[in-house]
Amino acid sequence: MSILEIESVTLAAQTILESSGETYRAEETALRMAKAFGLTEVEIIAFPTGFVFSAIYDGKRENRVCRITERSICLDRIDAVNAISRKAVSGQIDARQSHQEIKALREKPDVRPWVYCLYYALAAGFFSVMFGGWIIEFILAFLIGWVVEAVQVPLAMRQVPSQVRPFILGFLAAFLCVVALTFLSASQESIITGVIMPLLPGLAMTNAVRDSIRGDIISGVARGADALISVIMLSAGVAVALMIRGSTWIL
Amino acid sequence: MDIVIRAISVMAATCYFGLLLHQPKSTLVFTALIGWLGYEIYLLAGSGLLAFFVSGLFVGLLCEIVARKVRRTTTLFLISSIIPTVPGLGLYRTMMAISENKLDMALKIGLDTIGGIGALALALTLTTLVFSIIRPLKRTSNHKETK
Repeated sequence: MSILEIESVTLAAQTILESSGETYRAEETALRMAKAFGLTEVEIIAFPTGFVFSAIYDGKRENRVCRITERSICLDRIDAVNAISRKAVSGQIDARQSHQEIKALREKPDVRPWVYCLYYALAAGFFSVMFGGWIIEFILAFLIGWVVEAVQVPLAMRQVPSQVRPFILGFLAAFLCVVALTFLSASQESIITGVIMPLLPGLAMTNAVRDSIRGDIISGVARGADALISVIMLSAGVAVALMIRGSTWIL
Repeated sequence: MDIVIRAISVMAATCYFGLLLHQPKSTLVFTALIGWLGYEIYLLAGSGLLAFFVSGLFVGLLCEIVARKVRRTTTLFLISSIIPTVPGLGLYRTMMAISENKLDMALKIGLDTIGGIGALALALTLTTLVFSIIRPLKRTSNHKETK
């Protein structure tokens, strides 16, 4: 019953949206692939949280609705789907091949989580040096960054809402830093800022801008609100940890 | 010496941030360089609201140009290049002032931070807008060639 042409197009759009790609990119990719596969009267409307697809295949109208619940940031996947769609449009691969390629892409095993802990830790460490830290700050930011990413992975797996996660992680980062600094003397400012830098919603902000410019007002506003909520939650988490220090520890 | 340490730390931080977002490895060199240049321009321009705007314009333009040169999508470059300029320090200082109950300070720094984010977003909007006007023309001309 499943029509390979339509499956392949919807899978491409789904992959882009799940990897936090722009909405217009998902729509354009689906439109171009559908045209290349010979579907007619193609219509697609996409949001950050799902899309509706409709096209005429073999004289019959086919509709698909897809809900996207979990989004993560995977720039390489967006890039790869882009490359596959370009190949499909130029006629190098047909619907079956592109379906297989996107499926293989989606099932490709991810790098082990601890590698991401390492990336996060190094990013946090270097950010703290950038904000005026030195060796002690680097080491502390490295360790705290490792812990923060190690907590983030299970939180994402347990499907804790993505708007609550920044609060927990921001609190954790600032709290650990405050605790560590009761034993050591280092620049608190550069450590906490370094650790929370990778948590700032740069992607959501950039995509909000890019979606709004393309006229996707709903997606633009949704992503803008998403970015704003993340920043507020993150700041609130940091503020709570700093307030705890202010009220209990007399330094 | 100071500038060397800063350059290394900004570039390394941008690189690892890019890796965290699953950025393709071949684009990391560009984003690290653009990120560092953007941060230097931000510092040179005086770290005020205008500095955010100028640095955002510069990063946005460079990313669009590089993306066209290597034929990848702009988003791949933009996100990690802009991150060193994002006002994380202002955010922290605002929270610090709130936790110390210095509300007038918190308001001042907070407004500066929000203004900085707004200036960055405006700069990115402008560069994307300029290039999205150029892009369709280019695309249709490519299309005719292939046909």
